[in-house]
Amino acid sequence: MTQAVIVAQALTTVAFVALGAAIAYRWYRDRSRTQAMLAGALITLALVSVLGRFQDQANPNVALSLISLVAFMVSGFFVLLFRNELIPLSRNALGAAYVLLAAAIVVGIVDVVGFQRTAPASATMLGLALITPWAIFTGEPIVRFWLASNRLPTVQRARLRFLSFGFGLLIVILFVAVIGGSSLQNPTVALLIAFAALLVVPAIYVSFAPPALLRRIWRLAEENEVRAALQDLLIFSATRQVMAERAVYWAVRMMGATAGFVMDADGRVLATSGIDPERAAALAARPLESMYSAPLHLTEGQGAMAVLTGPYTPVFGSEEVSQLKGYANAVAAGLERARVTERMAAIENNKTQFLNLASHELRGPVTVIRGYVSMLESGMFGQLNERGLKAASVMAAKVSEMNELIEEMIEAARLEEGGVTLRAVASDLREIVRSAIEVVSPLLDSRHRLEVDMPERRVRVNIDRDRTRTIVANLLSNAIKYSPEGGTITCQVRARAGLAKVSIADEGIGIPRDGMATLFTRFGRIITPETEHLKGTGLGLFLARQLARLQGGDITVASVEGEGSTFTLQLPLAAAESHAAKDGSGDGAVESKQPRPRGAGARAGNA
Amino acid sequence: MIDSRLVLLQWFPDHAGVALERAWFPLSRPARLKGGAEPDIHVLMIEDDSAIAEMYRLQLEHDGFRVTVATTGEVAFSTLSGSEPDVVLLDLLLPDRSGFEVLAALNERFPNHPPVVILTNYGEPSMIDRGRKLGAVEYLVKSRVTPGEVSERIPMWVEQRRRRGQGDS
Repeated sequence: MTQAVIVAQALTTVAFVALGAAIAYRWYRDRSRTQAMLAGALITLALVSVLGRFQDQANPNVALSLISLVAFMVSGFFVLLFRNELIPLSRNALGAAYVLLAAAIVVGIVDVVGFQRTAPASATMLGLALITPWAIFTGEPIVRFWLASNRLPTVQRARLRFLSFGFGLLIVILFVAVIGGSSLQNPTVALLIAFAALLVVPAIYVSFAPPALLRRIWRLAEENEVRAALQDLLIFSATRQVMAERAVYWAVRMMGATAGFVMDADGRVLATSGIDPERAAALAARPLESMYSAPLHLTEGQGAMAVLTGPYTPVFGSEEVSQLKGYANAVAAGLERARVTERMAAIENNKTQFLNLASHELRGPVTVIRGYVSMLESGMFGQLNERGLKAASVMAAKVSEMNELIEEMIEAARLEEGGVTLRAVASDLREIVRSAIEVVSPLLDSRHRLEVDMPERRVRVNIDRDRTRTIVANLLSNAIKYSPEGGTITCQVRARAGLAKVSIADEGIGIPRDGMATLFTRFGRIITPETEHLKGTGLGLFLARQLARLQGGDITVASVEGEGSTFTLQLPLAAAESHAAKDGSGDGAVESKQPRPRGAGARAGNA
Repeated sequence: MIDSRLVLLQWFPDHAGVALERAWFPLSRPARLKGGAEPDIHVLMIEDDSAIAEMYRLQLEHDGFRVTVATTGEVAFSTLSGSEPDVVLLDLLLPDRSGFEVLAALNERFPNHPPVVILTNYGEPSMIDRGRKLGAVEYLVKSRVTPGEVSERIPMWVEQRRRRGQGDS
């Protein structure tokens, strides 16, 4: 049993020496202050362990005892300094720590030189006086580390916790050893303590040099989260900027890095995380050793996604590097996607601006032409003969067409910019449909027959009257325009289940199946041999649907090519209570005093 | 039978920029006051586009109004200091300042200035509101009205102001 204790203790010493050597090697590779402090703590601890092997317990060497004592105190103090590097201490706290260190060493020297551990009781007291400062130096940092680790990504969290665990275990062992005193002579207890001390070594080791496998295990839980985030990021980021910012945030988390940045193909820093843009730009120009950057293969050239190691960060292993490369490839694809989206948005925006500008600029010349034509027609410049009058009237009609087009363009641009304001008023939809029919009736010729089917009762809606009339007139004029052979056009108004519907059916050329998708888009005119001679901007239905949707409604279409189309405008019916309130007031002015029999009045072309 | 040109004008009523307080457009026009009926009406047109200004001058003079054209805000102010027009037709896009600024300055410098009618290429609702707030009696989009239609309404604006003036005193 005693043999076992000796072997275990020897093993512990070897383990601590190995730990000291490992951290020394790390420090040699990365000579940061932080690493130096941890190295100082562990190397002095190894020294204490080794000196303990050479000390004769019965007849201790004073010089050896003194060196052990100072090394021991300093090892604890280095842990505090290590904490100071990561989480800076206040000046006062640091000053107090130096005083405590000095006092502890003095007490230790007095103990070693003066008392020589004569009485067991005083030995225990003195032992406590020595390990208490050490416990303070190490205990405070480990508590802080444990608390700080809660906010960190899993890899760093695990590493800090292992570090805390290792030193915490050491504190416990020391207290047990000092307080336990003679009972520790029991080989079983001695063996247990030796094993506990042995356990400290791997715990601390993985905290500064975690093996790849361990890192992977730690990361596992977070990886699913990262994967989900990556998906969001690649698909939903609106701009490259946003995309890059989110990508670098996740790269830093995933790698357990302290900071990172994304560099665009032109060398510009696109986004940073945990680092300010100026510093990132400097690093992009002059990379550090403690930085790893994965290439971003972009159309314009090669960018980079870089991550930086820090005190809590592992030196990136090959696994992390390949992971970052894969991630960078996905991000590069995402950035390309975002660029295309941005470009398309810019083109759309330009289109809208152009539409706006062009239409306003066109108003000037149209004003002059329209004005002079009207003056010519009025005979202001002398009476025109019949042919002249006819020419003037054609010009007037064409200018009006131009005007209509300009107004459509302006309305479309306004819609795109979200500048449309609606004026909803309580109205009877039947009245609006009647006025729309009035608007389009001049377009009807003898080949068309318009049948109007409206309910007896009012169809109460809260809508923008003018715009709704525009919509209905547009649908009606389309029905006329796209049934060049003539036929019956049915206009039906219905109110049912909270919805008011206006259906306009024609027997015209219909809409080809593959045209349905673009039917309601801006400039989405469907050009077929049947329609190519018909005039139109492709704005009408776009405007109609947008205006319907702005009012809480919609326009739907059913069509059979060659047989005709039915467009249905639906709008929400006004709530029941608002009927009573509005009755006889708002509607009065609009309400027609001449009830029209079904289908009459609009049967144009007979006149 | 409806005039087909008016049909198209109805297409985008109001929101396209013609701020109608009454539905004078297109059917219920006021009885036309022929040129000469109000021989002494002086119209100040603030307009930098000479083609448009010239066209309006032709129409308005034909209808018996006296017309002064100011091509900038500054010229308009000096005209207003020298004479008292009965109605002002104001463009919004002027070389030296916007029509809104001209109108605001008018309100400040000539509190009893004649009725101002905004006549512009822009018909955004926000601009119409702004024009109204600044006290314009009417906001018209040039391409939507003919000189004849504007000319017809001039006596009415003058009359409105005259009646209001009497009411005040």
